[in-house]
Amino acid sequence: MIIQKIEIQNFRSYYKSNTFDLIDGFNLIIGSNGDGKTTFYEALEWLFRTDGTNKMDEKNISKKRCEELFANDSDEVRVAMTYEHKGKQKILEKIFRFTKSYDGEISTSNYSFTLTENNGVERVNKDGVLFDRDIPSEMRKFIMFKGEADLNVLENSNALKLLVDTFSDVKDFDAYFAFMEYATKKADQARDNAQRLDKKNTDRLKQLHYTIEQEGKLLDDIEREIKIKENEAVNFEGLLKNIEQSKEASKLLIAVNRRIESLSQKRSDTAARIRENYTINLLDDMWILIGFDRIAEEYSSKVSAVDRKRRKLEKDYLLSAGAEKVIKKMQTDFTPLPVHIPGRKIMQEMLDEEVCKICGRPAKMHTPEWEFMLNRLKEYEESLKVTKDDDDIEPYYKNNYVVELQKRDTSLNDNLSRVTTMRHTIHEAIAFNNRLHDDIKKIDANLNIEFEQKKRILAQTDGLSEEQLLANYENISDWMDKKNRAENRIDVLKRQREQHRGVLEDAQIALSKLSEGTSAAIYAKTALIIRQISEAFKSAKEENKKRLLSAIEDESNMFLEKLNTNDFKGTIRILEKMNGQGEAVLMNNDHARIFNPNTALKTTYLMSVLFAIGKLSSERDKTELPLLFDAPTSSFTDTKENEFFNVISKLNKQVIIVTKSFLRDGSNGETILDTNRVNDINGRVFRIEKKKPFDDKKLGTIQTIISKIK
Amino acid sequence: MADTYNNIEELVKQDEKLIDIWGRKDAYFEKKYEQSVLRVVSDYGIGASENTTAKGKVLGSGYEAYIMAFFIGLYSDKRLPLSEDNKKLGQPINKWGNLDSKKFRKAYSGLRSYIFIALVAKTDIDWIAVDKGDIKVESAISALLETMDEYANYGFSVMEEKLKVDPSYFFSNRAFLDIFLQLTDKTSRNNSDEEVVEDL
Amino acid sequence: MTNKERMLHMVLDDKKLQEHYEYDKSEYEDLYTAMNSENVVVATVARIIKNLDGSTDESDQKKVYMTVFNYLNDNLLL
Repeated sequence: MIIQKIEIQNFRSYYKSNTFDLIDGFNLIIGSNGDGKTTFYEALEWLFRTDGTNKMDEKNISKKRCEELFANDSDEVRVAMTYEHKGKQKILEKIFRFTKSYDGEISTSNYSFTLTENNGVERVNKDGVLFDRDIPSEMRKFIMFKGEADLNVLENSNALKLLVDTFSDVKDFDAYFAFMEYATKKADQARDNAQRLDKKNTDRLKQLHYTIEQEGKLLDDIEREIKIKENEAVNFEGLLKNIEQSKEASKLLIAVNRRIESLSQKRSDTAARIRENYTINLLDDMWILIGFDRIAEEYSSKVSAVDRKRRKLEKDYLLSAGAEKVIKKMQTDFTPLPVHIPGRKIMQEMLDEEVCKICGRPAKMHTPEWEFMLNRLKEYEESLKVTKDDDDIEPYYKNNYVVELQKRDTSLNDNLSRVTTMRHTIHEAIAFNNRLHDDIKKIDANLNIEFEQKKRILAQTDGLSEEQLLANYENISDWMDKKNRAENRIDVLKRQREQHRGVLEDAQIALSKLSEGTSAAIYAKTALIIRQISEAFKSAKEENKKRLLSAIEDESNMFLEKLNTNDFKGTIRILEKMNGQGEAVLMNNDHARIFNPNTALKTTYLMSVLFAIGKLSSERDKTELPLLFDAPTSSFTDTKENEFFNVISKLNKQVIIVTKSFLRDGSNGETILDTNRVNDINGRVFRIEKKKPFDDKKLGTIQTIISKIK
Repeated sequence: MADTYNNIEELVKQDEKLIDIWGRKDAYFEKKYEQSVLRVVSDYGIGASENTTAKGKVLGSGYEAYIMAFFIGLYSDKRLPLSEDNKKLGQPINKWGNLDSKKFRKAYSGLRSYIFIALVAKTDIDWIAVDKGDIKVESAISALLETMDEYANYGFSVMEEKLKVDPSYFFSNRAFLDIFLQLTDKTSRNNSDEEVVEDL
Repeated sequence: MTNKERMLHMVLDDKKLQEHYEYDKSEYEDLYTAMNSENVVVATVARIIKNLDGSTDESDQKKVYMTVFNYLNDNLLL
């Protein structure tokens, strides 16, 4: 079939009459979104509808035309296709009238759907539904594609069956199956009747019939279960296939979440170690004493001075009190050291060690120095006694507060080193905390990286949420498990089926043999032969399907070679899934399946399959069918696209492609045609665009105009 | 380390020491600082049994603010005499730092000794006259307390200034610490400046 | 090759059937040869295919069955 002309009149944006004159080869219709690309396609869909639905939908009427109409005025919505098929020229036409009433209402009428044949001599009008004979509705699935998503037509569950039925070498298998079933039943009946008359083998007959019946039932059950399991396996495979692409993402997500968790833990552990309540440290750890060394010094010198003075005054008093006993004790004329210092213990040490610890000079035993020390010790001991005797002298001082102050000085001195290192301690504490803060900053930076990574993962997963991704990952092993179990069960069942078929066959054969030598023999043999022929028909159908798929595969790969501008190395395989569904998949050279080919590659290989199917159909029916695509190449680069189209144009096939490629943004923001690229195209090129001026909000201003570029 | 500080009193005899007489007394501050400083940085005026952090104040009891103010004055070496309009802090000195029931806090009762030492260092008292009995020990103690209140008074005025400029000044963990680091650093910086001059 | 002949080939290509009834490709090159084959099974299959002509009509089924049945009865050697 070659489409020669498509006329669209008053169908949505196609105001009044519009014609596309197509060539038998490559036809390109270029338009932006909203210019009328999809409408072109949908007009044809409407035209081809042979099921009687959607006849006169008001939505299909050109708004602009509607608004123009005066009261009581009318016009037509008309889509027509002129084509040539099997030597005849035909026009398929669908029309209806629309009328505007006085109050502005639109009504529709006069629906007509005709197929006009021009057989050279006369024109014959027929019902448009006869178009089905030229392109059966199932076939139309394989020739019209609205977008890249539609390309994988084989994934439709019935598509493969339709394909086989439509293109198989034999169209009438079903009729023969039905017949064979009938014949088998009848032949069996005849045999049974004959055998029943044979009294000799009644028991054995009964037994064999029983066996046959049982086996038959078992086989039915097995068959049923096989179908169920096959569907299960296919369902799980489908589910798995869907999440195959997100499996990678799920794995990454799990890893990212794990890292985020460990980093967060580390962060809170680090943060917990920060102790920065410096205000409290000032009091509780006495950091506030940081500047106290000056004060301590002031205290020390003040108190020492007071103490010295105090003792001098006491000595003067004692002197003036005429306590000669006491004076005698004062054998030195310098201010005696307070009697407490050095202690008795130390004096004894000095004597024993024969060294003066005050001046550092040695004092050997019995030397003058040593004697001096000995005397001092004795004096000290005396003074202890003397103090008790001297209670007739009034003590000079009532209180000993200075003593208290002096003692405090001693212990203060002992602790002073800690005060002087306070500044260092504080800075160390601050530095420690700062290090922890830095650690946290580093951890935060790493956390940010992980969060960004997580965002990226989620952004690329086709709208799957995090929960779904993670759930998917959980599901994967579960579903694989279930799929495997189903498949294993199927294997088991198939083996059982073989077994039981064997038993059944043997029983059948035994049955027929049983009649050997009897008049029933011939009926038995007949029944057997018919049964065996029936089996042969069944396997022939299987064989046929396999052969067809193989043929499609081979053809597809030949087209792939021609169309493959992607330097892809691999092959197309047509797989028949368990429940009869079909799938066209891509395999690389290692026979590993490519699950997610990039869009351009996917388009290429799927189109190869479709071209292959088209070629096979033409070989069968001796007629080519055209292919109509709506923008399947949006993911191609410009050069690849040109290459692609040029390869197609050499395929010797009518192809009509509707696309928004070849347009670029002009200087004033309008879209203009890339004429350079257009010039490289071998074929006919149309441009469709909305007539200016137009207002997207007012449908009545929208009108598509067609211009033939080349 | 704090324990060593806290033990400084063990060396002194068990008679009523100066420090104990002093410890029974209370501190005084100018009333105007109650709202502008004390209630801002401490729990002054609120029941003592609750945790500081629960109320969100930087310091616990009012005396802690007083101690801060005192040390500011001490290290700045500036005193401000109190006006007539003053009031008692409400907790005798010998209770300061006895934080036995507060969470996250340690007792720092030894700090009192250091305050006392500073007061003795900075107050002119004829201790010999006190020991002779010519001057009542009470008046000596009063002089010490006056020193203390005046240092704290200066400290409060500094704190009030800072809060006027930035009401949230003391909410930072480093606010007080930085003040003290600065005050005590200036001294050493002054010293080092002198050294530099000498070198030249 | 016509549709019928394609089907003829596909059915008679069946290995099991060939094994059971020992015929070869030459017996069913085309419908005509098959109809006249000496091999009963080959001839039966040919008859089924030719006579049924893809019909699902019950009466057609009956007719074809009778043809086949009688043919077999007449030609089967026991």
